Amino acid sequence: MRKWIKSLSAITLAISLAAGFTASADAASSLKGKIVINGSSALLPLTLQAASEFKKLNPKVKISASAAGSITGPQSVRKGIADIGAVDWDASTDVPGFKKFDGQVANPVAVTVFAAVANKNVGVDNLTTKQLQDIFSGKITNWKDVGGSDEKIVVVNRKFGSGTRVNFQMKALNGSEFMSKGDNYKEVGSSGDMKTTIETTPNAIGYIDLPYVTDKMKALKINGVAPTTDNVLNGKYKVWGIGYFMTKGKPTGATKAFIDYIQSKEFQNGSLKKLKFIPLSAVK
Amino acid sequence: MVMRKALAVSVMAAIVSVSAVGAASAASAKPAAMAAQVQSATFKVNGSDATIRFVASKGETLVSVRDLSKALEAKLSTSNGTTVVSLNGHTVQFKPNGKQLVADGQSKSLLQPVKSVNGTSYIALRPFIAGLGGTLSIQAGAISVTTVKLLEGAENPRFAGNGKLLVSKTEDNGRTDYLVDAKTGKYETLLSSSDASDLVVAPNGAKAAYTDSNGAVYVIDLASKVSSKVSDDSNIKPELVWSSDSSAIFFLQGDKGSVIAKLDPASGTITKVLDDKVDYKSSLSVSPDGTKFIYVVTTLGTVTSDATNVDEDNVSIDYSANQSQIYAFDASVKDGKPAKLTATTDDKVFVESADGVKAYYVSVPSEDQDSPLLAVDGSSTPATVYADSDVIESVLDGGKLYVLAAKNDASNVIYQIDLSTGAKKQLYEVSSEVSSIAVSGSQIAVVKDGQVLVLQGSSWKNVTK
Repeated sequence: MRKWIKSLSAITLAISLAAGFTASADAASSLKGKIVINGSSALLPLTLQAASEFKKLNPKVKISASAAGSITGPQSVRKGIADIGAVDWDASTDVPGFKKFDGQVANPVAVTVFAAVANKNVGVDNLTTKQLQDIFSGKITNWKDVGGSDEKIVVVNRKFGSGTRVNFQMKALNGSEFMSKGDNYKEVGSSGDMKTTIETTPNAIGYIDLPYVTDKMKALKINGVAPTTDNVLNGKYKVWGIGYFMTKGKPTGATKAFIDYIQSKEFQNGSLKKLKFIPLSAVK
Repeated sequence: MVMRKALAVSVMAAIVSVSAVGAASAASAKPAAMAAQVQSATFKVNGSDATIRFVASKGETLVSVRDLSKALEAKLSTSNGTTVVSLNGHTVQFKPNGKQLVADGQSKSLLQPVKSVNGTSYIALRPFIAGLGGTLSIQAGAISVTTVKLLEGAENPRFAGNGKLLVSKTEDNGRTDYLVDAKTGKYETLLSSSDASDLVVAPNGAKAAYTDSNGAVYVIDLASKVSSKVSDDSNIKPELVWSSDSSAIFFLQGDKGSVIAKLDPASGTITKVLDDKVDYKSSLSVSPDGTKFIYVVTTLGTVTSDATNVDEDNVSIDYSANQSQIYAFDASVKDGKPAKLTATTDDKVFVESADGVKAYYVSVPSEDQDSPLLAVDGSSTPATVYADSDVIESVLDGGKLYVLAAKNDASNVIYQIDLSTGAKKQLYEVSSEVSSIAVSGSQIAVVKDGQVLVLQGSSWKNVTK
């Protein structure tokens, strides 16, 4: 009996092997390498989520992430201290305030939506482009001048070098200049700092990327249009940009595999949407 | 009993030998008188037992066309002396005593003619099934015939109750989830969505939870396929975890996964469990009583920069603090604080816990070293659970750890480790192309080269392709 079972399983095994259990030394998990990513804090939640998923498929790839604003991304790549520079604009081209980074390739990873946000105590829900320009340039300094209560406006700006700042200036303010000093003016260094400052500073106004908007702040409509994914997809809301992973030349090895993963249908239609980013294919 | 065993062996031998016959020998075979000794055996036909009459002849198994067509639920008809069998868009035609079989319009030679015994036609099994788009294998000693059209390109298998697998296919604008019969591969659509997160199956296998791109939480009943919104809360929820009794959903909250919270799907009530302002939590596990938690915290590198003159690239990164560490939190202790269980700089993946106290994880020290499976509960340094070879994945299920590890360039192995006794045993040796496993109770599935296979008896059967 035992012998029969043994020979039977041997035959079965032979069949299952022949049926497709062929060996391959090229399994996905054999990928090795180290990837250093620095730059945009807006793209950081996306980067870390993708890194966590990628590592389960490729445990031997080490991914180190940090964020200090978009401009530090392509700077780190140029300096040779990072493999990927996460940046909220295409840094291989000139944009207002920043020259292009020669020799770097812009690999698109996600669509980011930016929102004008205010502290919960602000009684205004909607601002026009002109009102936003006047508030952020310091011409309008009191909420009563835009339909709110008689309170001084606290303008919270991102520091020079922020991709969110570049996008907000280009797309919400149509390129108009920011104020840069004053009693009711603050500058913060990251999306996280912006979130905390807006949540805790009465009468504050600032701007932030959509994933950072919380129920402890107010996302303002711009020209009557709310900052939602749906309004980006239907073309009504214009304050959005594409986030890029900058690499020195075309990416190779583990860096290429990671960028391929973040650009894959699986990630773009899966975790990326869960984190309130918009897939690249949706705005093509 | 003895007779049946011997029969099964001879049938298998026939199949195996036929599979080795080439086209040249088929052409040279000559018809010969044969003893019409009709026997019968139990075949597995699309996962169900069916008694099929057959004639063993010259190393081939000729099966009753009537019996097998009935078991396959194929359409059988005769017209102008030609028998026609149709199934799933495939058609096989032949004439009594003919040596030709026409499958979907293509004529093929048979090694021996269709035989007629007492008014029943017997035809060679392998070309007949191939003509109907099916496959043959041997499952637990019985011939297994499968004509089910398998789902192609499905990923991420998870068991959803007894005998069912939940798998997903990503499309250009979203994802479709399917329930696949783990025995036959028959599948049905469960959910098509443009913005649903991955479905997390409840431990009772009856329902699954997911979020949409607004953060709202839904529960889908896997039997009725009806989804109900159980929370409108718009916070981003990177991870959902069911309570062990399938009554509550724990989740990480916010884009940085800073908060651990609990959702009661019946009332929609959300309560915060831990809000310690520590960002980038992940890999949440919850104890059966819902009071103890294991999770990972990722800390980032520290950047120093000055963008006054962009061209100077005045930026530096200190990655010494960039680590992932495992934490435990006991919510039943008044004013309790999370406890850091690890302090090492290795990467920690597949972090899971059965009791919210002890964490199991795959430690990845570096790209050139093997990754062991370790356990840690804060009482001492991490203990080795499995270090015989490089661990690819570990899965915790029902008090046991299932470890997929590399053996050599050609093979991987699957081990089972009993958490209460520490007993370790090798369950299976599989191809090195097996990249992932799914386990639920006695059920196990593997992903091999993008296809899902389920263990049936002693062999692996494709349930997707």
